[in-house]
Amino acid sequence: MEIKELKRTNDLLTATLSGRMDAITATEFTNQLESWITENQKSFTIDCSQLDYISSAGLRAILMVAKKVRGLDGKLQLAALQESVQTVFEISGFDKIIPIFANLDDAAAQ
Amino acid sequence: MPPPSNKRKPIALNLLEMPAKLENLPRFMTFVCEQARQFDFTDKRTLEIELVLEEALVNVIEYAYPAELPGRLILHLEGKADGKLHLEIRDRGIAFNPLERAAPDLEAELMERPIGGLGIFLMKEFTDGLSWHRENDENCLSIIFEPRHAD
Repeated sequence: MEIKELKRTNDLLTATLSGRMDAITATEFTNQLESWITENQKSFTIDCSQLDYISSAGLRAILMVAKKVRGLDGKLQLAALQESVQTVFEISGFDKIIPIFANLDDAAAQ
Repeated sequence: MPPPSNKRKPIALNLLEMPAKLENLPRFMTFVCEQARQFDFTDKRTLEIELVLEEALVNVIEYAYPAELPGRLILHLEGKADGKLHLEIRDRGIAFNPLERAAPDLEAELMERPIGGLGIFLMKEFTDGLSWHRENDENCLSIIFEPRHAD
């Protein structure tokens, strides 16, 4: 799994997430997001087009960060989920609590 | 890629036994996924099998044994002639039936949504048979996958 900053515009940080987000790698996501939060970033859009796999450990990491930024009046939104990842989100009801967009442009329009 | 005539050939009983440690997770995953691909499972179904397997294994790794004293985790894998894949995961840890865990509240609003509890729910969603029993001081979790899961 790899998470890389793409750009910062105003208060929004856009990053790309790639590879597998599982029980071994999910903490890398949490650590990186928490590190950005300590730099006073509160809102994030994550491009998931290269994210091939997510398990409950990954969902847990996303939920933790989403709660944390909501508590700071920020937001965590995702874009361009692959079909298998989208399925896991929908079955878990995460599509109702995390804003998901078809692509980065749609996410930026919010 | 094996010739098509070999694709549905039942594979012999396979067994992998290693310490129940997170660092061994990829070895267990690779072991099962290679077999699943040989056995005519689609890439989509193989991903679902991976997910179920990870949830089941992590459950044992995190809860069955004291952290400082990880015991054995035993994985049996058997491909049946009817195309189904049977998995059995056994450990000698504390008696625990994961299937009795309450389902998470999928309707809860973000801030009320509990962290965790989703792994077992996802296992139930993506399997075609899931049962637990205690036998000879072992937890035995049996999982059945059909090549295409009914949505």
